Amino acid sequence: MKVIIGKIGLDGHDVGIRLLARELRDAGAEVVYLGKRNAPEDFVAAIEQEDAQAIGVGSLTGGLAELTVELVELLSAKGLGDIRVVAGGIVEPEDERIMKSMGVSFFGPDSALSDVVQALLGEGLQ
Amino acid sequence: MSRTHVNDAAIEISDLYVGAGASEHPALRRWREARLARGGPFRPDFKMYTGHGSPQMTADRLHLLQTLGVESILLAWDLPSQLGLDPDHRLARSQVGRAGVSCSSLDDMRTICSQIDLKQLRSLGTLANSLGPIGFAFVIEALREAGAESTAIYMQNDPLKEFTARGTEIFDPVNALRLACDVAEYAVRHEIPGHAITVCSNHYDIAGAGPVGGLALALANGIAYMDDLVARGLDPGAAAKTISLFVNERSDFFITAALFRSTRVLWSDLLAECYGLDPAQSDPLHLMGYAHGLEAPEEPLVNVARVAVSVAAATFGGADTLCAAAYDEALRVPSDDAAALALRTIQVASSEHGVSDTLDPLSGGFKYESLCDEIVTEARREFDEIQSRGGAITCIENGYALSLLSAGQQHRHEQLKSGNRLWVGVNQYSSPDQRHLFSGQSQGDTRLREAEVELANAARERKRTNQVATEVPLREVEKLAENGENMVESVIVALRAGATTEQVMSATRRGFESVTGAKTRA
Repeated sequence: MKVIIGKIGLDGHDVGIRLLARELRDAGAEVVYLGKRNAPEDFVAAIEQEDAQAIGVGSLTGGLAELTVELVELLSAKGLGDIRVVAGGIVEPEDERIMKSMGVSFFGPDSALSDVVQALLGEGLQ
Repeated sequence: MSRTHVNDAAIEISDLYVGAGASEHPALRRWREARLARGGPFRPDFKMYTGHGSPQMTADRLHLLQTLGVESILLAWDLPSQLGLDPDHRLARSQVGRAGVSCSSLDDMRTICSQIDLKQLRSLGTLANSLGPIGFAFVIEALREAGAESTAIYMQNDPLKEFTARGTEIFDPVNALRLACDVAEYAVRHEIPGHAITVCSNHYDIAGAGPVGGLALALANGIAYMDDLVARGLDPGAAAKTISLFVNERSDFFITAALFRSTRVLWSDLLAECYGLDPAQSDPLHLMGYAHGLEAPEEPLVNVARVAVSVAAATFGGADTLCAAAYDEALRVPSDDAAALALRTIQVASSEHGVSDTLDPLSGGFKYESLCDEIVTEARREFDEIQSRGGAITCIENGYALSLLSAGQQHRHEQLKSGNRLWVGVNQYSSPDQRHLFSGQSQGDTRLREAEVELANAARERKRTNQVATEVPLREVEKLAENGENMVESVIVALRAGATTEQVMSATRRGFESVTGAKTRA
């Protein structure tokens, strides 16, 4: 199971996503961490290059929903609609609803890392 | 010694209580003398960290806050502005005006300040951690144009913590430090009132280092800035005066107060050891705080109580200037009512109930003095460890600074999850069906998307219109970046000519990149 994770947009708080990378690795996943300041198309390029099955994006400072929706639309346009997308951060309730309606799993800041790992790996969890 | 008895018991309250057990460290003696000479109330300046949406939206907010009694303003910029990207940059999309106000030109700054009386402010500043000269230039120009040169400038301008704790780093640590110290050098040489660098432990704390480890990291950064300024030929006393510290703690009232006071002791000891500064002759350290509890998004209004307790703790600990978290800060950039209530929270919790009648009121308490001693010992131990590993910059580069952060965040999360640390409304007394009682009026600002489009168009137009006028000033910025001279004056000239933040940063980058190894200053 291979997973792409990274910060989307410009938020640079990366302590949480680094911890997530470690948890994913400990759960047996292969993790490609894209680091900070990624646009939606950077995740799509990584998925194509790495042949991964899931994407985890995070932002604590606004714009998460718009950028994640854009990512899902880009994936669909490329015929990659089956890629699992998980978003973590802070969004307005309406934006959470929109993301979920597009099949995105969303986690707020106080979520347990194990739940995020479960959402990313799904059936692939070892 | 003055006394008051503005309490219903008609009991006299003294502005200082002395007795056995109180620390007599020379830095604390000097601080008490200086503070008592100014007289009470012994409370911090009421400061707000604020900014959202467009410059005009923020201007309206600042006007509101000044009406309500704000004394100092620290402008919150959005992430594109903090990273040197104009609103029309590809990566700025959906980020413009979100985490703060969009500010990418002197015109933006003029609009932001257009509806407040800058002369009435005690201080104005912004973070600009990775583009210190630009942020400083915006602030100093706004004050100069308003004839408010006596209003102090308080910059955060602390790039070293960005690499691990906050994430707006742009250049490498050596060039980042150089830009920050360009600002501090300029401020010292031009005798600009205020503080050009605010060394932060707050962000390390919340990123997982905890308050003591965070303080140690911040002290190491502070010494790195001091070393650079002294190497530039500045008098160590003058250099120390332009540096303030920003400490914070979110989990314990007594540790919060003790952390503030202990920071005075630690910083003074380091200045004495490293630069021979006599604490009895030095200006007391300026301490900033930001009152936080462990804010929960579940019942936002309840956060006001948490923040109020933290305000009192910071006041007891001797904070000189204090911001307070808004009740909706765990959810979004604060709305008007939340920002207003945060200001009122600082005003009430640092002034009513006799909180500000006495200086250092916990002094001499067995518990308090013991906590202070422990913080000084432990923070000093970790500081020494960082120094023995090569100091602040080396510990950023070799990963040691980052290693101090990761463990603590998980620890905090586990304590909350297990219920060992009480969290009302979350792990205790949880009442999911009653959350509507605690929601306040906060809601997302629907104007932000429209503002982003307008700001991006304006940025494009500004660059087109000012292309000729900015060409020579931007070449000068590039040249100074390349040859290692102080860049502040050239940045001011470029901004006056109409250059945007991104244009100035691009010129700076070109200058840095043309230097092999990019180590532009010893």
